[in-house]
Amino acid sequence: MSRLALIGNPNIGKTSLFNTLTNSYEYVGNWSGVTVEKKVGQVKKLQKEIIDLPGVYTLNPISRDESVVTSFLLEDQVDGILNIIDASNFERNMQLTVDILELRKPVFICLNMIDVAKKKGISIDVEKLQSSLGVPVVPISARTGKGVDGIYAAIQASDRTQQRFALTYDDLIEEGITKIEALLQPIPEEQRRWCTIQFLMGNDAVDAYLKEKEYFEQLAAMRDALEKQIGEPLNKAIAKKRDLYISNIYSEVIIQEKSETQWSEKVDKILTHPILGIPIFLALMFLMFQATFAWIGTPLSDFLDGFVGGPLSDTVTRGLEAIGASPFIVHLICDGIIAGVGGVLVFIPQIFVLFFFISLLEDSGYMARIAVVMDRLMEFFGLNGKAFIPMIVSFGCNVPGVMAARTIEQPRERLLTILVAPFMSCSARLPVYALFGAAFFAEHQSLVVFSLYVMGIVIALIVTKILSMTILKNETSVFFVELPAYHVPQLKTLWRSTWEKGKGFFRKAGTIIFAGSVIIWLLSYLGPHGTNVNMDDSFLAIIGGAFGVLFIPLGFGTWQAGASLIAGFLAKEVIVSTMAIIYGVSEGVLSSTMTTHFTALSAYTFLAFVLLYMPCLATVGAIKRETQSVKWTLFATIYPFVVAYLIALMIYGIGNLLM
Amino acid sequence: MNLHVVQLGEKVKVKDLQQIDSMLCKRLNAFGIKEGCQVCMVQKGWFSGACILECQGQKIGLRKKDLMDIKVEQV
Repeated sequence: MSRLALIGNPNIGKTSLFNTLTNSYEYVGNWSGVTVEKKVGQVKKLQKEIIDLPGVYTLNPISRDESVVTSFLLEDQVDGILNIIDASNFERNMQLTVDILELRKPVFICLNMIDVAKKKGISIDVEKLQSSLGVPVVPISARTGKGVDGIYAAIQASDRTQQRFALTYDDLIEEGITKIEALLQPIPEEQRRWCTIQFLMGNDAVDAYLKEKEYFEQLAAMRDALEKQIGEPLNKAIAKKRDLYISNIYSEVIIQEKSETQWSEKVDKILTHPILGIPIFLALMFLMFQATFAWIGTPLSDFLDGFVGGPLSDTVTRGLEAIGASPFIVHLICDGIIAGVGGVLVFIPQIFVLFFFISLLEDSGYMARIAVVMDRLMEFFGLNGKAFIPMIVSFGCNVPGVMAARTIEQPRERLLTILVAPFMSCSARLPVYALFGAAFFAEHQSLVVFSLYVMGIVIALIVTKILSMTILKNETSVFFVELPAYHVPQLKTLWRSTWEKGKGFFRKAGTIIFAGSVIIWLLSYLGPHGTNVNMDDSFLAIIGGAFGVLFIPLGFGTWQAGASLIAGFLAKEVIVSTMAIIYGVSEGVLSSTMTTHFTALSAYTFLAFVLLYMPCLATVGAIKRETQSVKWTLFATIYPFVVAYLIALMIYGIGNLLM
Repeated sequence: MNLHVVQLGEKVKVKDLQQIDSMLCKRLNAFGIKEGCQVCMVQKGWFSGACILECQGQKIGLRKKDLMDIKVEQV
């Protein structure tokens, strides 16, 4: 099956188009760098494979996600390229288009965001653009899917035609290109010119690719000589020629009229206001938690809880007894699986409400504004404002949060962000807060939960500061972020991205939480002295007790807390499953039973500890993949435990003094 | 003069990008910000915070210290 690559600037709708073409539901958002690695899908209508690549401004990479694109083009074979361009930012997008056209593969240009351009007073003569570039240009709307049939038609019509785009540079440069091309014989013919031009422009990925060749030294010498000959940096000379070409096309195809002042300009003034920006952000976050806990999520969860703990559990017990199941099975299903998995599932409404709001943040374009507003603060702590985006993504789940750090240009800042992103309170920790919140802080639940989220951010910043002053020092910091136009979020997109985030939760419930519940229940059912033992004599109590001793100074040194914290490493929700099994009662009563083991203070200390103590198994996996280093992965797994212990000790100590 | 002293809403022409960090320069070039192009200051951060610039209808956020390295002239 032949393959097409989807390439374009960041945040102009590549993934939306990919989803439309392949009927899939990949993650989309309104900020640069949503896609950090390539994704493959099938276009049924064309019998072709399509590859969605991270957004890039040019093929000359700076950050890690960008080098994915250039390496892909160097090492993989594709039969054609879909180049999606943003009509409202024509000149900038054309820079990449020229890079791509020089590859001499069949190129299909998808002109997106025509509506945004129209609002800015820009219209484009598609016919003229098509004839100037010599490749098909199809106007589309990636978000609604309009115009996609045009892409199918263009691809089918031009099967196997080779495009012959050639931009001729100044004579000296052309001479140099010919000489270098002659050395690049082993590289496929159509790639040679592109490879040479990129090499002359100082493309790091192409350099790295050619470095393995024995003639690299010779190439580099030729490049230096040529640069001396023309008397200015090569990339500048090449860019100048390209700019001229692009501005010629621009004046041919673009009709610019006066634009109307947009409402978003006024909104933007307020949201990015130097003084009001941060309070507005905090207020929006608080509203989000208020909706999640007080207004929508909790009432729904309570309703579900009543159903799982009451009718469902009773019906299953009666059914099992009626068919004569052994007491072991009845216990396993009702006290193990229903209590464990059900105990977590009742939090679905809250988690979905939270995911909905995070999707709203991502889709609207507000994320990049937060990066600007937060940059000053982040700079003080040794990061840049862009690091705030992975942190907010981490509120949903730490795994995509760790991956989102790829858009950060400096390796050191990227590593720092990966190390602290797990301090952000993910949705899996939410059931734990909800459970304790309902039991101990019924009156001020959102406030308590909000304080934990803020604590996560504050601790992350402090740790960053310490790390950036000690083991991860220096390297100058740079900040650059694109502020995309605001979108009015579409309900369909919002629902999709909420569901995409939420479905992982169901998967976890069916696998790791299910397995965890069965194991925990078995350990609580078995003991050194046989089966169905008193839970205090079970294996679980022995293991949990040994670990729990550690937490006596923190006020929750029980075996129950110890056991649930061990289980929580699998996935944070398992803490709730474990408690539901241990306390052997349905959710509603669980809260009241817990008050015998925790005071309000030790409960809050416990929550703070759960927030910070260790990334879950899936996050550790993501950290390993992203850092490519066992040393840093081990560090990222262990040091939060020390941090959590110290913070918990402080909270408990200070709390005791005050009470 | 450097880009940071420009008033809010004022349009200026970029004169010189030599002094800024080479990585950032690459990024700005790719973005269409080069010698000779017109930019407009849209928002200034307080306490030396990040600023927002507009160029060819697109907005970007940059730091004060980098803006100080960008030389501009009045249109």
